[in-house]
Amino acid sequence: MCKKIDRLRERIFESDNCACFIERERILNRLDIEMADYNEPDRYAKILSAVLSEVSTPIDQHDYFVGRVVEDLPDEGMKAPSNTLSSLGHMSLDYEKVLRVGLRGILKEIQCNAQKKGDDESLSFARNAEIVVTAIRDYAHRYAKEAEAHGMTEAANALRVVPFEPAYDFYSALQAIWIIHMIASCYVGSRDYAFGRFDGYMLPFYEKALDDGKTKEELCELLAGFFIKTNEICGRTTWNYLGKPILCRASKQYVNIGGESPNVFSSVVLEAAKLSGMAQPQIVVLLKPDADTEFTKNVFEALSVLTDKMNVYNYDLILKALMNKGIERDVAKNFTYSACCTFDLNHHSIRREYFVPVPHIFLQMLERGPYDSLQALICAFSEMLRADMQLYVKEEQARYEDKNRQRKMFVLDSLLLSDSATECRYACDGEAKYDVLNLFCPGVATVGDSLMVLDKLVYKEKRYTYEEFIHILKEGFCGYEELRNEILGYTKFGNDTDADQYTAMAGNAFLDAVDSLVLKDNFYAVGGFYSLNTDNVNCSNLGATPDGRKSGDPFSENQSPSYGADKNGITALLKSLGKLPFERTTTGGLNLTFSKKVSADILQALVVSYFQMGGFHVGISVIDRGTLQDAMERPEKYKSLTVRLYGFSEYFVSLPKWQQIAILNRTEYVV
Amino acid sequence: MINKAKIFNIQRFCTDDGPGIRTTVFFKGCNLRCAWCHNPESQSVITEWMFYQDKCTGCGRCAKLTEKDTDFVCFQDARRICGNEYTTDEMLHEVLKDKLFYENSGGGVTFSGGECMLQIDFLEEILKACKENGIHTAVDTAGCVPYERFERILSYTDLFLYDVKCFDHEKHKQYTGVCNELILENLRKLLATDKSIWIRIPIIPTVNDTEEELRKIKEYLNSCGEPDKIELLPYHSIGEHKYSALGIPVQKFEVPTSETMERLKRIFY
Repeated sequence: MCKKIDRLRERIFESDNCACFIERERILNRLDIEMADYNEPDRYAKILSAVLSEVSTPIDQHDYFVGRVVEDLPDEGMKAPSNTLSSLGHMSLDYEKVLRVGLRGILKEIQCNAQKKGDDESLSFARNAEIVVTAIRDYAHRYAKEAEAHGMTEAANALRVVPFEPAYDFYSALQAIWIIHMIASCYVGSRDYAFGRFDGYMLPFYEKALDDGKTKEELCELLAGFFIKTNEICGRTTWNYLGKPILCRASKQYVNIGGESPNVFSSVVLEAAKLSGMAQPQIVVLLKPDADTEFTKNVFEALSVLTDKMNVYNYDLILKALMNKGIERDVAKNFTYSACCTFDLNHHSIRREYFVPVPHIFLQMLERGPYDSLQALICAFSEMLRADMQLYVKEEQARYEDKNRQRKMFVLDSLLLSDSATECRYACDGEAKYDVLNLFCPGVATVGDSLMVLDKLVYKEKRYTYEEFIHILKEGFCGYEELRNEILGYTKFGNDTDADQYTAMAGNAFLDAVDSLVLKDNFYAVGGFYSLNTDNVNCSNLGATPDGRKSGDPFSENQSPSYGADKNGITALLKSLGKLPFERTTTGGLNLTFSKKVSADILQALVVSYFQMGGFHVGISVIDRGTLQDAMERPEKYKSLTVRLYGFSEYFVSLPKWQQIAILNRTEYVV
Repeated sequence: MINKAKIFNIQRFCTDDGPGIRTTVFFKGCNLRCAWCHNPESQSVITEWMFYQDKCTGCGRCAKLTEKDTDFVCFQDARRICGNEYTTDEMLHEVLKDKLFYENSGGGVTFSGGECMLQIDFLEEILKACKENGIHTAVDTAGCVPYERFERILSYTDLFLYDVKCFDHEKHKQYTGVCNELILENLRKLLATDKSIWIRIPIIPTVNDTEEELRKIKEYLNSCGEPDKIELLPYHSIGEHKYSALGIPVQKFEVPTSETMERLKRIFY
């Protein structure tokens, strides 16, 4: 068993990060020319159908599930990857429905509803759906023949049935999911397709397999074999640096478990993830504070081993935040995390995102002063944030008022999102039942610490007038080095002191702005403290900030304190973070770096305590500075080394130098 | 609660000083002078300055400092005061900060140092206050104090972390500055109580890293009563830079190899 998984693992590390999905690219390059003048509504469907009918069906005898994509270096002059079929990704597809009724059942529903509605667009949607479903069915049947020829009987039997028909057992369920996931990620082309509430819809298949005499160990191995495949399709490059020429490069593929009722299969998912031991899929645990004791214990045992490959979210906190936004409980309770630190309503929603330039707006607001008090300053800040976000909302909502632009697109995703079959529409057009705007607040700690400094030096101690201090900022602290050194020595956010209240104020100012937005009925705006890489990328045009940060330097990442500001250890850090208004957020994340392996018991105590204090999310890395420095000098020795970055895992040696250095600079908690 | 103590560090999130997540309070002042001490700032009870040359930028702000300027803040953290006084109320306030973590991990507070039992009035008071607040307590001690002090704190202490440095009397005196008769006798008495006791033996090459030395410790423990745990702690050089920060010479030792540690651990299996 281990040898088979080891071989699959080795093959992933042997793959070429410069290779593209060559057959896809050749076919699309050709079709782009041949169908250049073809603009009928079924254009997309016909192209996807052509791709699926022409690509080969490679088999690897080590595979537990069939489905591979041929890779090679792009042809000379070839533009790879082609965007002809690309999709949004960053969503959970409705695998529960695929497994229950098959693509045939989904198609039947669409055709039935299209007939009832009778309008041209619905009928066109139904025709496209039929072309794509037929193409997937035929592709699966071709793969079944190939599998049979190679003696892979179980795969052959499965693909003769799924995904067109419902799945009939544990194996066929995973095979069905894999084929669709591979087609969506690689042949259509998009990143971050997630597997939704995996433990919920797979449980009946798991239980039936046990009843049929399969052992837990056998099923765990199969699942590990499925998990390993998620690494085959994404390469080992990053999404924004030296990327592999595929649309699903560095795809983060999330498996969500837990929620209201974790079950026996939830723990099997954790075991399988440990067995496969790869960067993908990212396991997301939605943890209730009063979750089953055995499940909770298993979660933290897995976290202790999987480290950066896992996320743990505070389920109750997020559920409440979603319901406070007006999302009904029956929908809200099934939320999943399908993209880095960002949720979706488990195939019910369309996701948008906007990284609000919070630190930039902060400085712009400061320049518009003076303000009589800190409170007046914060009010002005919140108002400017609101105005910026409202402009974004207006632009997003306006995009879909042009009826001619609406609903031109049919993509594979549209078969597999809730309401699409009912509405016979692709819901990316502003008419989805839940159109979710994720509004991210980067740099919350930088802004919070800046408020603290302003309050101290200008409003409380009155050592500088407002105008004098703003002048010092505009000068970038030039000539005021001693003042800057003094400010750098202040106790900042992250040390469980009174300084934390300022970051909470900054967070609340942002969320007040989010809550005051005027939105269409089906739009929901949710806020979160999340930076992705904007803290390092968007800082170059950000001037000096009152917290002592120099112009152009990075600002604070995600929910963390500014680099090096947290000096009182991890419990102090978590207590500081617990003061932030997470109950009003649904996105974002906290990354903790430990210098050596942390026992499951300690991790459990830390995270459970943090969630009891109102904490939102935890992700960990276990890595010491010496290893990172060695990896920078000898990357060939550390191909499989992953670290936690923003909301996911990345291969450390694939990162650009500046990002490696940023990780080195993170506070490392010594255990 | 009126007693005060001189403390040089309060470290949150300690996982090696007793069960669970703990806050360890380091008392300033010690009546031993272990040659391998990795917290040299713990030895003198007097508040003193530490100066880290590598962090100094030469700004000159501390050029005219006197001993009384204890609230001076160096912006580079190059010069820092070591040793602050806490009342019992202030200490309890600090210790209570992580109560939720203690509860969820089976952790608590460990009083260490230096030698915390030298400031026994404060120690007794704070231990009692911790118990009144439902906090698990541990005392980390070298044991070189009159046994009456143990008797005063027995009912408020859940766990003793007891250091046994050397069995050989001459070596003990040579490397710690004190004889070990009182230490061993106190250990015997403590093991006769129902208290939970962890024995901690620092392994220092050329001093006590022989099987003979450890067998003698084991035989002594067998004769007294079984502790709940025995930990062998390999010497490390992490504290060496503190010696230069205090302006005192450091005696260097080798770090024991993992093979040595395994071999010595087997004596206690």
